[in-house]
Amino acid sequence: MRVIWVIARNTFQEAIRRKFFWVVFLFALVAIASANLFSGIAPGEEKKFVFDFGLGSITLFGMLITIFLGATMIPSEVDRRTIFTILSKPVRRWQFLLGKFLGLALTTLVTVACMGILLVVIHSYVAKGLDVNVIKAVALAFFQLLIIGAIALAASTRGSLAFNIVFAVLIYFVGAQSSSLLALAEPEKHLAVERAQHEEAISWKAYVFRGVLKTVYWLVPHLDNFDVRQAIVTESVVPWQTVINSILYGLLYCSVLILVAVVLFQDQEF
Amino acid sequence: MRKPLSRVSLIVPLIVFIVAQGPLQSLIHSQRKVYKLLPPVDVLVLYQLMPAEAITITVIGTMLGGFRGVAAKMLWLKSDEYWHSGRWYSMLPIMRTITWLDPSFVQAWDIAGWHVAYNLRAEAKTEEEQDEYVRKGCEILEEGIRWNPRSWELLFQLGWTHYDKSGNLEEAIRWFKRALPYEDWKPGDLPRTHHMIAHAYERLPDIPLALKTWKDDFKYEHYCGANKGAVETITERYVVPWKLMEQGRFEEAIAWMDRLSEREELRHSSIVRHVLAEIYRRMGDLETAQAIMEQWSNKNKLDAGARYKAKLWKRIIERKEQMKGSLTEPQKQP
Repeated sequence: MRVIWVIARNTFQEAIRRKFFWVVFLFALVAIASANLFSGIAPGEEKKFVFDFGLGSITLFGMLITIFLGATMIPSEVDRRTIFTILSKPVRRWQFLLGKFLGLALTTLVTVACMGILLVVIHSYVAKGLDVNVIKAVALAFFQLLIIGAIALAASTRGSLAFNIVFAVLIYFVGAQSSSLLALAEPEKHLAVERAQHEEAISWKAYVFRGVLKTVYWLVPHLDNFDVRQAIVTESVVPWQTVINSILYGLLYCSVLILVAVVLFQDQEF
Repeated sequence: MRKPLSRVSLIVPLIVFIVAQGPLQSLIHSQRKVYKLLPPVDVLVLYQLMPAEAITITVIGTMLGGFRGVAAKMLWLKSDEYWHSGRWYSMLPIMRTITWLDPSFVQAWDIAGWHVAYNLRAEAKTEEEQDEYVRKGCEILEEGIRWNPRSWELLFQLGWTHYDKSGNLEEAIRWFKRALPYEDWKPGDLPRTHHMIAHAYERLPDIPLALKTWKDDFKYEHYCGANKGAVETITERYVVPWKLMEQGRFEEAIAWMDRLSEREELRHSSIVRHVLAEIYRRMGDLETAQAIMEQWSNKNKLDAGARYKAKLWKRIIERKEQMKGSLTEPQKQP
């Protein structure tokens, strides 16, 4: 356990020493802090705009940081040949990988927490009061980023840097639209009846198309599970049950990804 | 020395994940559906209809996840540009995209419903097409209300569209009444809703309820020109024939209404025609009632209620005739 913690701590320290991290992080803070200045494009809806823009910034910049750090994690160790030194010590590969993931998670946590606190402060100022739902939304954004980080890390055990980044970004894009994938795969549940009947009548190709979509739907992470923006902008309550279930889903998905990464990393030769 | 994990060992956790993911995801999905966290309309249809530049904004906005609201605002500006350049048909998919990106954007639902029920209807060639656009406009507003059930603006707009365009006065009253309890109105909205309920009752017609609604209006804005005048004119013109009708003295009620319709100041009054048609309908003479409404709707194109009744009653009369025909038709010998 101590080994894992040492690797995690080193990963965190290494991450916050990177110029890229600070550029993106500071840019994110400036973007969130200036959200209120842009709220003029939505007169009367400043509170909603600040939240929307702020959470959007947390997700976007958090994604950039997490993907970049996750994707460079193993390739940079290989390039610098530090991986040989580490693995020659009594450190098992799974411990190394788990330490790396926890370091990445810690970096993401600190980043999201800083951005989240700033958003909560600005939102509370604009809304003239603290909205607990904003904190829930930020917490969920963290778990969303954690999944993306795990994907980038798993890809980095085998792929090149460019591949890892592109792969993680694409998975993010598809995952963020997963409920739309389901809507396309099951039109009868989402479209008007007559339109669904029309779809039914198309051909067997439609069934194949739906099958592919459904498979993709069940494979990609359902990142929109972590999106509760709708409830917040309509000033509804975000139920704790939904938050907990989404976090559980996130942890489950991350566990599997780390397992996949460990197996891929076990027989990797450098 | 311990053996490294093999790829086969992946199968067990993957199976556990797939088994656990299914019910958990279904639970999350159903919860998100209940709490309205899912996107409101199907993406397929939108992507097929959207102009290219709107697709770019939408894709960037939605894919970046967090910026859906910002993308909606950008599209809103785009739709304004389309409006001024006369690209009315392109506006609809953009507006539907806006409501998809941000279902809490009340103004977008409001304008989208109005645009379809009014502007696109005005462009339609046939009466069937016009009715279809009005129906679609009402559907958009209803969908908006499902997402924003406490929005006075949407509830009022739907009531108004039924009153002014579809002519279904019962529906108009239902939606106007639903708009009453919400307190997000601006000054003047409450009496406006109240007045509209009263106007809809006048044309429905239900004279006692129209009178009661106007009298209730005193509570909201005391005496104003509208409610005071309405109470006076309804009492003077329609209370007596309505009572006569309720007592079954139809001929006397019709004679009263005929005298009213001859008055110069009432030559263009819709209420007179609606009340007269109602008397005939209750008398059992649906044909005359229908003829009155049809004639009036041809003369006054703005009275959607008359057009609606004329069409509805025409269908009833035709169905009755069909039934009569099928009953009187001699059975063919085998």
